[in-house]
Amino acid sequence: MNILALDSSTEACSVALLTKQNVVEKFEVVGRGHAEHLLPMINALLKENGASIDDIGLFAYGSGPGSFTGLRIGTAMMQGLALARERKLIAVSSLAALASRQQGTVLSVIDARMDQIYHGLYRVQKNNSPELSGKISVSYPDEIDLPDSGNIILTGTGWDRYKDKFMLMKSADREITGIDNEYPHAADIARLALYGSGQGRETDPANALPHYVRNKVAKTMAER
Amino acid sequence: MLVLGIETSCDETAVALYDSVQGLLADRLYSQIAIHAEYGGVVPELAARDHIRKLVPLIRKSLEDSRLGLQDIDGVAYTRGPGLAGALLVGATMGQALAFGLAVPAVGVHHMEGHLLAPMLEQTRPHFPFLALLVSGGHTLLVDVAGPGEYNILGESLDDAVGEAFDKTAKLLGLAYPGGPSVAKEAEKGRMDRFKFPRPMTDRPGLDFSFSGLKTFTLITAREHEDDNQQLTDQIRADIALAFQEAATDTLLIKARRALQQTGYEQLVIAGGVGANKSLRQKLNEMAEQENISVYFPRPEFCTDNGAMIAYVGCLRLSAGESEGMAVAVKPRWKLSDLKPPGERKHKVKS
Repeated sequence: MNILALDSSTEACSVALLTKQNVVEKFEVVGRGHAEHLLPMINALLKENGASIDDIGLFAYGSGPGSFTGLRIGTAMMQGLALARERKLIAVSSLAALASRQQGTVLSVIDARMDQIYHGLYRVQKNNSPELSGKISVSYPDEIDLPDSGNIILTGTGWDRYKDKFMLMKSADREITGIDNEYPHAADIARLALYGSGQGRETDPANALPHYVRNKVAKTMAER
Repeated sequence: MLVLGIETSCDETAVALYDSVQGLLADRLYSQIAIHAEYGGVVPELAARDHIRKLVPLIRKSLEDSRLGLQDIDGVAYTRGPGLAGALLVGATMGQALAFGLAVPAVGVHHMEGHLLAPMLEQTRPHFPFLALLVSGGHTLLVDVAGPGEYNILGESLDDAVGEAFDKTAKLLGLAYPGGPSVAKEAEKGRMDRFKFPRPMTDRPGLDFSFSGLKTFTLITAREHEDDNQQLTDQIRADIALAFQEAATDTLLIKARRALQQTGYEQLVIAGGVGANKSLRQKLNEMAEQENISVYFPRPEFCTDNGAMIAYVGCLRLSAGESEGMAVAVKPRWKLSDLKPPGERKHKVKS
């Protein structure tokens, strides 16, 4: 089954096509330009690989957490395509996609602004889907509970932003290894979607939503 | 040509199907008023979050209503602006994706053009040219509508929109959001000559409006009549609501009459949410009788935000050969006067 995937959770924008043979990807750092770039990138990816939108059996999207607007652009794009083609969708965590590029104990961190980060701790084995330990949450970098010992790999835009703070978490038993300039990639979203579809995690486009994590976005009149 | 219209510019998610031959075939709307009520106004992030939950189900319901399938759609129209950027992006992205998936053209529509042309969806419709009074939470405009896409702004609010003034008045009187209906309801219990509020900018020539001074006058009046516990009596609250509504609607009336005299037009079209205000409707009807002109009020659901007007304008523009490139670009700020008649826009396709 051919899978079309995208991720728009960070300043990066990527689309990927997974076929029986391989995975091909287009990747660009676009800042806030996801709306402008996504569909032209999808169109070019399909054309260059001799495929059409009719050939897609499953649509996969990086569900975040990350930029609220970026997530909605990616989600609405895939909702629209899946609705038009009458196909299912699958949500893949953008943090899991980041983790899947490493091996070992991985803390995926995406900048959440307001001095906070979204994070998830994963155990990643070769040729396997990353296994989340605990849950995905949002907090200040120094509030994160890291394992006491071993090597912890930090990856994602949160590492680039808060490198100094994370390096302070080094101890005699705990090693910190950071991966610079790393973003979630649609190719990894596509691969993880393939695992996910094996587990029956596809959903109808109406139920495919972003995973915001930060849900308190305004104060009610009573709270003010 | 069957066009799917999508509207997500503010706090209503709306979808409609309009056919160039059969007319309006479906018109679905989901209002977010309940979500924003406890915040005292629209929270843009919450609006966008709700649009993405509601859009797919509304599209499906519209198709069910019209007993049509996705494959019957010949084009997609979505609101490109003006409005809340995050909210607009949900509808625009969905619209472009659907069009790409169905291999049909998509077009981004100006929300206010939708309001201006909404009366064309009715059985009794005006003919061009006509004068339009567009009154909503975001806009107060007098527009010379020469034809589709030919709009000349004759007057506009220099500060608050009239609907915004209603909302703020409701807030300071402790009335529910949205302010338009709650101020109107409160005003029903008011005494006509208890207070007299100013009719801003009516004592000088010109067709522009200003409602921020009226809002301040309302605030000062309310403060002056509060008791020691900063409370208004029910009667005074109703009297203030009535005085405010009278001043706001009189101002609209005076300027509309002046614009009719200036243009020599004999048709006046009312659009936008404040067009649902009964006092305004009554005054305009009385004027129409005196001046021997025709006034057109679209049905209330076409006055407020809706998908039908977007599908209609989209159909006009798609039929004339307009379409967007693949890059999705919304316009949170977009002047009506920048529009061109259908088919005259030369679109530059990026990449």
